[in-house]
Amino acid sequence: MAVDSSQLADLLALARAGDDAARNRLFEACRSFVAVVAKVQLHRRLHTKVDPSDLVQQSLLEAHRGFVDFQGGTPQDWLAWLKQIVQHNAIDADKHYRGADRRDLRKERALATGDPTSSQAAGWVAVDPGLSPSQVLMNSERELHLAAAIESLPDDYQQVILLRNLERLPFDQVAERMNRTRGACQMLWMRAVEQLRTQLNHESSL
Amino acid sequence: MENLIPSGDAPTDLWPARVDEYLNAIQRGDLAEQQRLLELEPELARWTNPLREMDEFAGVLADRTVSLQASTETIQFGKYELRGELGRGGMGVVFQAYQPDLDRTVALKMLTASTFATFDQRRRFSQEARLASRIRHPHIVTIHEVGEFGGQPYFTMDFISGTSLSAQLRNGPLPIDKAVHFLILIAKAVEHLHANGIVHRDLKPSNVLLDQAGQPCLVDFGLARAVDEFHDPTVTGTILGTPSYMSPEQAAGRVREVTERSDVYSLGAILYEMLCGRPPFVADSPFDTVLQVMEREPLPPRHWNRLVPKDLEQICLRCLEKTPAGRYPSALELAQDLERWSHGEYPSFPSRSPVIKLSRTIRRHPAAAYRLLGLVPTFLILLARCLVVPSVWSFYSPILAGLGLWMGLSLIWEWQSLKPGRQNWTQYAFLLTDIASLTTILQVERAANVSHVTAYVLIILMAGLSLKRPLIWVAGLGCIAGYLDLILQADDVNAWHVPVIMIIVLMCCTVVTDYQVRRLSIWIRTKEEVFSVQRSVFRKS
Repeated sequence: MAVDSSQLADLLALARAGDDAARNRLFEACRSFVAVVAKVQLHRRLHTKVDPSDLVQQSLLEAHRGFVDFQGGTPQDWLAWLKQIVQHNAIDADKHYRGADRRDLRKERALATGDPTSSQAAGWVAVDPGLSPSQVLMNSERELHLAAAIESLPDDYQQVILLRNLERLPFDQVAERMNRTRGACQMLWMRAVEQLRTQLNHESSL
Repeated sequence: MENLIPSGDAPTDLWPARVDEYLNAIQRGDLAEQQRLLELEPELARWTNPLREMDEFAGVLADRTVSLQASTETIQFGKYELRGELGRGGMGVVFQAYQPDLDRTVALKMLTASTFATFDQRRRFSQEARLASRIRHPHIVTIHEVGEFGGQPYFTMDFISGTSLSAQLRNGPLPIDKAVHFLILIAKAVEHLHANGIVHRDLKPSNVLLDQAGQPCLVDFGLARAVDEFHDPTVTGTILGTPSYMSPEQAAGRVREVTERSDVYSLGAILYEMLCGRPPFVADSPFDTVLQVMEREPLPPRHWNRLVPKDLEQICLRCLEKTPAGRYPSALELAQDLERWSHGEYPSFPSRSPVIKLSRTIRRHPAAAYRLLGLVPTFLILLARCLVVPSVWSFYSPILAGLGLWMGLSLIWEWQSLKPGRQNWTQYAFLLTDIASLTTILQVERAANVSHVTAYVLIILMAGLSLKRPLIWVAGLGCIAGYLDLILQADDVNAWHVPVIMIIVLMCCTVVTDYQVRRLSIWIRTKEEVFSVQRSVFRKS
C-alpha cells in the first residue's frame, strides 16, 4: 500500500479527472491516515473507549460523496481536506456523546472545498509557495508512511505512541489514560518507538 | 527484538527516561538541550529522526498548529518569519517571529481556534484584541498587531526572553522584599488596565513574565476571556483553567459580580504564593479547589513561612476576603498600602471584631470547628446540670469524660490534617472517633431506645458531604455496628422490631447517600472533561 514519490500526486490528478479506479486507490492509500487522525481526535476529546472505526467510516464516506467538490490541487491540500472532514465529524461525535445539542452558527461547517485561499484552508503552512513541489510531495508521502506505520502497530503500542508523541502528553497523564503505571508505560513506549523506527527505516530503504 | 539498551555505562532503567527527556527537548524545539543530551548519550542519535518526524506529524494532526525543529528552518506567515516555538499554553502556540519591515523580533501567538469558528466570534475577538492593543505600560506586554492570515487568527506582542513567575515559583517562595516589590509593580499594571476599562479576570503567576532584567510583565489580559469564548462558546461562564487564583465570585460563576476587586483577589493569591510557595487553595481536582475557594479560609501565610511579618500577612489576607466589599477597592490602594508597608510607615490594622475572627477560624478548620460547635454546648449544659444537681454527677461524669475525649481527639485529628498528605486518613479518624464516642455515650446513657440514636443518621449524612464513597460506606457500616453493640447490651429486648427498623433505616440512609454522591460524581466528571480539555490547553499554568 506504500505510495511512492509522485504516485500520490498522479493518483490525485487522475481521480479528479474522473478515473474511478485511481480514486479508489487514492482512498485506500489514505485510509491509515484517516484512521490515525480519527484516533487522535477521539483521544483529544477524551473518548478513549470509543471505537474509531465508525468515525473513520463516516469520514471516508463523506469524502467519497464530496469528492467532486474538492478543489485543492496538491496532495497536501488533499490530506488537509481529509483531516478537516474527520475533525468536524469528531466534533459532532463529541457533542453527541456529551448530549449537547447546539444548533448555532458553528454548524455552518459545510464541507470545505479544500480551496487553499478560502478562510477555511487547513494546513496553510504546506501551501506556502516557499516550499518546492517535491518538498510538498515528500511531506504528504511521509505523513502517509507514518500513519500506515503507526496503524500497523499493535493496539497498545499505538495508543502509547498516540498519547506520548502525537498528543504530547507527559507520562503521568499517559499512565492515567492507559491505566498502567508510569514505568510500565515508559517501557511500552520504548518498545513501540523501536518497532516504529524499524518499520520506517525499512520503508524508506525501499 | 533489537537491543534497546546501549552498551555504555547508562544504567538500564534510566534509558527510557533519557529518551523521554530527548523527546521533550524535541517537542519544545529546544535545540541546545537536544545537543546537550546527544553529547551525553550519543546512542540517542538513532532516535532523532523517528521522534522528530512523529513530532512534525503531531503538528499536522493538531488543530492547525505547526512545530519547528531547526532554527535554520523558518516558516513564512504573512509578513512574519516564524523562527522558533516559544511555548504552548493559553489558547495556542507562541512563536518567536521576525518582522522584516520593522526589523524586530516579536512573539506571535497563533490561536488554535476550532476550525469552524463563526464570523461573529472572530469579530468579537478582534474587538477585544484591538482594545487590548491600546494599552501601553512598562509592565504590561504590548500588543502590536492583531490579524488573520490564511484563516488563522493571530496577534503579536513584545518578545520577552525570560521565564514566567510560575516557573520561578517552582523553586520555592521568593524573598519577602522581592515579593512585595514585584506585587507593587504588578498591581500598578493591573490598575492601569482597570483605568482603561479592562478587568483581567485571569491573573495568575503563569501570566506574569519576567524579562531579562527580572522585571515582571503582565500578559494575556482581556484577550484571555475573548479567546476562551472564541475557542468554545459553550464554556462562557464555565470555570476554566486553574481555579487556585480565582476569586470566589468567579469560581462560583457569578459573572456579573466579577469586577476590579476580583483582580485584587487574584493579586492577593499571587502575593500569597510568592510568600508561601503555594497558592492559598489547591486541591487534587479543580472541583475540590473551587469548593475550597468558596468555603474555606486560607491558612495565614505565617503558617507556611514564619518570616512573614504580621502586617504584611494582614494585607495579603485582606485581598483574599470572600466578599469583594472586604477587599481593597482598587489595585492602586493595594499597591499604596504595600508601599507604605515597605517604607515602614504602616499603621496597624484595626483589630477585627471577635465575631469575624471566630467565623474565620471556623472556616479555616471546619472539621474540628463544627464538631466542637455541637460538643461544647452539650458539654457545658451537662456540666451545668451536674453542678446544679450534684446527685447526678456520678451518672454524668463518664458522659462528660466521653465528650471531653471526643473533643480532644477532634482537635488532634484537625492538627494532624494540617500536615501535608495526611488529609485522607484524618477523615477516617474523625469518622471513627465520632462513631465510637457516640456509641460509648449512648451506652452509658442506656439510650438504645432513645431519640439520640438518630445521631447515627447524622454521622452518615456528614460522611456524605465528603463526596467520598468509601467513607460513606465505612460510616454506614460503622454506625450499624455501633448501634448493634448498643442494642446487644441493652436489657429490654421486648420490642425487637424497633432495632431492626433502625438498622434498615441506617442501611437505607447509607445507600441513598452513596447513590447521591455517585450521581454527583458522574455530573462532576462530565464537567471535568471540559476542564481537562481546557486544562491541557492551559498546560503552562
